[in-house]
Amino acid sequence: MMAEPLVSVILIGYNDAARIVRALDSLRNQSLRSIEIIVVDDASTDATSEIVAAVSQSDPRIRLITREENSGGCSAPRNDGMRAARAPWVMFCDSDDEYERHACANLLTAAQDWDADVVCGLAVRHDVRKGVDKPWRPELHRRDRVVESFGSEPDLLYDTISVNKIYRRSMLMENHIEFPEGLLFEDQVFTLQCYLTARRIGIVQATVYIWNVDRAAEELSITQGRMQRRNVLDRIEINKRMDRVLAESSDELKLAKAVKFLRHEGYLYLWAIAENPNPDDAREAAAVLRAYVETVDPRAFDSIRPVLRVAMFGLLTNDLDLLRRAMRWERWASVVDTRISHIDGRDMWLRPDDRSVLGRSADYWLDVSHLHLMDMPFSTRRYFHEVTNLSVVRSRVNVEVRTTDYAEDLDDVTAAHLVWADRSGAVIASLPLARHSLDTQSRIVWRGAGQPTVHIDRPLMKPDKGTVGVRLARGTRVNTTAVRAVDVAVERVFVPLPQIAFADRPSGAMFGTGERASLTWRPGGLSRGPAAWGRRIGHAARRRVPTRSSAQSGRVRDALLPGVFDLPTARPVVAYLPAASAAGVRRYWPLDLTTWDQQMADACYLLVCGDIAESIPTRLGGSIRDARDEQLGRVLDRAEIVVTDDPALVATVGQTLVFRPDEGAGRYLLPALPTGYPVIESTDDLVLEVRSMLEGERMGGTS
Amino acid sequence: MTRIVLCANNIDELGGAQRVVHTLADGLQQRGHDVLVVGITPFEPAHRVSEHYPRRVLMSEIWPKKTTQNERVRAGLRAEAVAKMADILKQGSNEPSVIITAQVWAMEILNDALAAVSPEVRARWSVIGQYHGSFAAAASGRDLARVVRSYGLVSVFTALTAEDAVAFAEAGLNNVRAMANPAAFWPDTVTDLTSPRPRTLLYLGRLSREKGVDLLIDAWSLIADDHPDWTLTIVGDGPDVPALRAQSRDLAGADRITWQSATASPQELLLETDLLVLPSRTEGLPLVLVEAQACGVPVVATDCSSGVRQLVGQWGALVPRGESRELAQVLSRAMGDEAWRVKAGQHARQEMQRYRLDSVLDQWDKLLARVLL
Repeated sequence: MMAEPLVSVILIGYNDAARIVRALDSLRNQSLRSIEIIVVDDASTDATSEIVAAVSQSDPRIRLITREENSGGCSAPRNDGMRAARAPWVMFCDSDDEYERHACANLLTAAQDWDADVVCGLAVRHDVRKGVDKPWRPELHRRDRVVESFGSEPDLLYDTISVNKIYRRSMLMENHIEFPEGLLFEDQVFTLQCYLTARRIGIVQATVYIWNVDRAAEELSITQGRMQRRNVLDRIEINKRMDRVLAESSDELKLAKAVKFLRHEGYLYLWAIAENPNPDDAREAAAVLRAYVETVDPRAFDSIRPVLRVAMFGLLTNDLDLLRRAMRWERWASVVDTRISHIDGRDMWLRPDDRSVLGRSADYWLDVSHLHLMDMPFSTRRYFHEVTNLSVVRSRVNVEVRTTDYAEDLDDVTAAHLVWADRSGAVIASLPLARHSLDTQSRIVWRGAGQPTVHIDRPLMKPDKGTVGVRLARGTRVNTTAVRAVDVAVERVFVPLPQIAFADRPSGAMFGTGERASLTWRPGGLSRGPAAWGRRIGHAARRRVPTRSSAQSGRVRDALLPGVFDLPTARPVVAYLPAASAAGVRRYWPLDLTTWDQQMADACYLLVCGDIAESIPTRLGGSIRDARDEQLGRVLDRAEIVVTDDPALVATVGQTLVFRPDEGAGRYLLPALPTGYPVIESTDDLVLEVRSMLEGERMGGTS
Repeated sequence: MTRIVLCANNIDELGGAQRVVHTLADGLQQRGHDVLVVGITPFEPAHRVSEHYPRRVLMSEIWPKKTTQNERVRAGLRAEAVAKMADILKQGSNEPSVIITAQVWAMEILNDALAAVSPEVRARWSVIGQYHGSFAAAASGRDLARVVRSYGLVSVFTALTAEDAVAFAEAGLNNVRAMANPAAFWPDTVTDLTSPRPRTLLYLGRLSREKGVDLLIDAWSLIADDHPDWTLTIVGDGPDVPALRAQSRDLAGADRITWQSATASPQELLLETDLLVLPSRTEGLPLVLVEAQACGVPVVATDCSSGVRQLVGQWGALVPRGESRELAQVLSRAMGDEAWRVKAGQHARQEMQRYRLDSVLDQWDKLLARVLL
């Protein structure tokens, strides 16, 4: 055993026999060999102590301290370790984490070279499920440097963990710096005391600490944790202690700490309050938090994000509804769930009233001018759409969505759709929404009913998934924002999409709730289970998605598709696909199908698709085929000419005629027509146009 | 006194990396350490630079270039090298010892040997790894991945300059320090740049593509007629000698190019030189710049690595790499301006003080003390 170790590493563990060897190995394999390893077992009931004792047989650098009773935290074992330490430098490690191989060497070298009392390295959060590494607070570690005093770089406040640092033991001892026992968040006071006491603080870029996290499990437990009473109380107690530690410090430092509290802890707890399903618990937590926030230096509110300030106003005035809505902006990618008031050239989150807190009027708290919410172009606005009702009966979807019209400019929306978008944002399916009413909070209520229109010509496959949004059109400009499911449960609601139904493929979309309460979908409704379609997808896709140019596959396709495509004579095929209207459905076929059949029966077949209730006269001359139950892709694939007024289709298919005879009547809320295409407005004109195109095709074919 | 093993791909060639190893070995020996120099493969013709310390070559034959037939021969030679390296590791007492590897291939063989010995033996050795090219050179080929893989766990990895150390750290090494190469000699006198003798422009180094001598010959032909009192001396061996001679034959100024083969004592040559040129496409921390400037010779070099930038500094002249016209312009200006050469030469010698063997060895002693902790 080396006579005088240079660094004492204090490894603490409680009932972690499974992982403590990994941590211990990472310490034993340090490139700096002159260390002592003090393992403090916090009265484990498993084999932790025995395992450490066995390892220490082969490595004399290890010392084991077993505590008599469990402390319930990290503070007491770390303090025990510190008292037992003999080396001039001290470091800490937790039993579920690891040191990088050169951690001790890098921190010690920096500490010695710079004569610093504390040196801080980079910790990396290692997601044990995904195997992904994410540096923690990398912005503090951009370059190696010496900070002469904490006051010159108060941003170090954001580095609150104790395990990524090396400490001069004499500094800890002489200033009686210890971890506060019996409290959560013990690192914060300890780190703050060290930063304040250190004559010089070193920062190195090098990674020193591997912080193993199970992110999925952690997220859940932490959010739930923040809703607990002890959690809030401890956090406030820790912050009071930090304030006492800072009592003698400069005003700048106190202010920086207050800003950090509001931005970081304040934000976390406001969100926990907003999320808390139990209103009594939420009110109690708010009361505890409010009592502390009222003591914070009022200047600190100048330095926080405007909507967080609005939420703080909600907290301070005990207006939890305001708090909740403001936190939706903070948490859900800036959605606006309020009515912005434009007063004296300033944008206010709400119309200011006479409430006044901490010596400041509501004007101060509610001013969100510099977010430029009102100047934002329509397409980039972030509307808050909340689904309030969702049911599916056979293949009909009934949905109700409410939208907060924050800028009061949605009256002239020309079309609204519920859209299923994939991860790239492309629309897979859509359902028209009609404006129904305004609710008591002046939110627009949209309702939609019917079968969603599918916009892809292939089956859904496993990687397909995405979010459900509302697509609002105002003239040619479009806004798509995700729909949130706040109060309704939409887990595992299945929406059949019959147009893309295949025997062994997903036949629709399964709704769920994703991150930020967004409504999500993924393929669902497998007739033979996922394993079956997973295996078959390769050859099935080749067989079922033919290319138009191949005569061979055309025969295969026709053989597979009796019915609509089973056409008795070789005539050209025209597809007719009118767009669904925003008002639910067009009630009548805009194309006069009887006239068409009389004039065109000898020239071509017409495949008719679309969500229109009127029956289709297929018996007259026999040239009209009802293709409403067919997959859209097959219809498009088969047709030489496509007649439509659906902008989504115009953009995607080749020979298109844009046909909209009913626009002038103004009876329907139809999607905006695509530009650059002449619009045909009567059945007679369409007949002439199609005839001339077919003529031209025949001529072109023979020449 | 510490037991130190210095290890390079080969120790018998007359290249930059070998000169560094020998200079360092000599210096460490003189400071009282117990030094062994190890080469992985023999080299023909073998140059013996110094005999002050013991040396070993691991492979019994020269490592052959890869062909379709010699896979087994190569595997056998490599296994032999690993086994003999493991023997070296096992020898001697249990005292903490240091092994320094100058190149990546040597490190890969050392890693295999370390894996083959017992944990007790492994624990005895601290490893210092080096890379004698620039970061830019490593990053342009496959070397960077090899460097990061084989040097990640060694106690310390040394890069040639501080700039490269940062770059290697960003590439994923957590154990990087900067360590300069030492000058092989430090002359008491310097070249006399004002004496009334014919002027000499010198190139000193290997004659292979990466050294860019073809660019130098093009540049010389552009400016030779403007400087009738100058001759170009090209000193070195290498695969490109016939091609370069053929290239120079028909160009202007060909009669004023003299060719010499490589020399083990560049000092005398440098003390007769008025200007040194380094037209390389890639470099590390080229020792020839240190040696020339130690002799008070001003330099013109291409901006091809952080090492060159550091060595040329503000006092010498830098040219964009791969540009013979620019090289010609800068050379012409330097050759026509005696006042600049004198000033640059004096400044250069001052700056080279920190590459003197003694000051580099001081840094090494600190580093050795650190890795032994």
